[in-house]
Amino acid sequence: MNCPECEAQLSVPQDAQEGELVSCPDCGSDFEVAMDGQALGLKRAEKVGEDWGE
Amino acid sequence: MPALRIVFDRLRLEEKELLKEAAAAGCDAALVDAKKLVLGTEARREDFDLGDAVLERCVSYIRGLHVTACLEFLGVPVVNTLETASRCGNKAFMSLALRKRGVPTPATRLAFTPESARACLDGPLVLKPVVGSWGRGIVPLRDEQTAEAAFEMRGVRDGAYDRIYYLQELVERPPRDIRVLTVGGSAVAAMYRRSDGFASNVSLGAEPEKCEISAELAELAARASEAAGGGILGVDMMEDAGRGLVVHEVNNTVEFRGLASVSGENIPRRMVEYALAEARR
Repeated sequence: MNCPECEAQLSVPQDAQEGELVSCPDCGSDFEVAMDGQALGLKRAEKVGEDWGE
Repeated sequence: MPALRIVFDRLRLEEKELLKEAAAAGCDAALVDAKKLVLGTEARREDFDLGDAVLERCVSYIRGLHVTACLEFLGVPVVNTLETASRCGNKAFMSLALRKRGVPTPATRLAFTPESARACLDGPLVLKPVVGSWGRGIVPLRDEQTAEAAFEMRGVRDGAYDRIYYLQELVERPPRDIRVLTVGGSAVAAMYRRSDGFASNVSLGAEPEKCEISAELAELAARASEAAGGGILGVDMMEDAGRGLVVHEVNNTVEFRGLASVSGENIPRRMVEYALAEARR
C-alpha cells in the first residue's frame, strides 16, 4: 500500500483493524485504516483537537 | 453471553487491550467507531448493535460527551455516565465538585476576561485550559511578563474556552505527581509520574514508577471518584509540602498504558468486569 500523500511504501499489518493508525515513514502523514469493501484502505487521520485527551 | 461494545474514535493500544480482555472474559465484544454513528431523537436501540453496555473511549472529549448523551437516551448503560464525563472533561467543573465535597484540592480561581485574570496575579499561579489534556497549554505564571504573554496568546486564539481563565495555586511539591486508577471507587493501581519539567504527563515523557496504594491514598481516591460521579477514573494527586495529598484532576477516558507497565494489574480486565456489572444493575 502506498502513502496517499507522497506515495512512499507503507507497511500495514495483515491483521490491522479498522480505525488503527498508520504513519508514513517518509512524509510523516497519519492515516486511519478503513475497510473499502473487503479490502483494507486508508483515509486521512483526524488532527489532534484541543479537546483530545483523557 | 453478555455483550460489551467499546466505542472509540481513535484506536489505541488501550482499546485493543479492552477488546482482548472482554473476549477473554467470555464476552461478545466488539469495537464501534463513533465517527460512523448517526444517533439522535428518532434513533431506536434495536437499530444499533450496542450490546448490554458500552465503554465510551473517545479521545475527543466533546464527541464522547455527545455520543454518551445519545446512548443514555437509548437506555444503554455507558461507562462513564454523561454526568461523570461532563464533570471530568472540564477542569473548572471538576475543581468545584472536589471542593464542594471537601476533597483537598489546590485553590483555583476562575476569571472570564484578561483584565479580571490580571487582578488575580497575587502570587505564583498556573494557568490551565479548562478543556484539554496531556499537559497541553498549561503555563506556570511565576511573573507578570509570563502572565501577560499567556493572556495575549489566549486573546489571539480567542476560542470559547480561551475566555475562561482557570488560575490555580502553584503547589510546592516534589518533581512528580501520582496517578491512581479507580474502578467503582476502588483504587486498582497507582503510579508516580516523575518529570523534571513542569507537567507530569506520561505522554510528555514523564517516567512511570509503581506507587503502593496506602489507606490514605485509597480513601482520597474514593472520595475524588464520588465527587466526579463514579465510574472508571484516573485521579491525579500531588504531594503538597504542607497539606499532604491534594487532588488536582480526575480523568474520564483514562489511559492506562503507563500504569499497566508498572503496576502488574490487569487493568483492562477490571474495567471490563465493571462495565458488565453496570449492565446487570
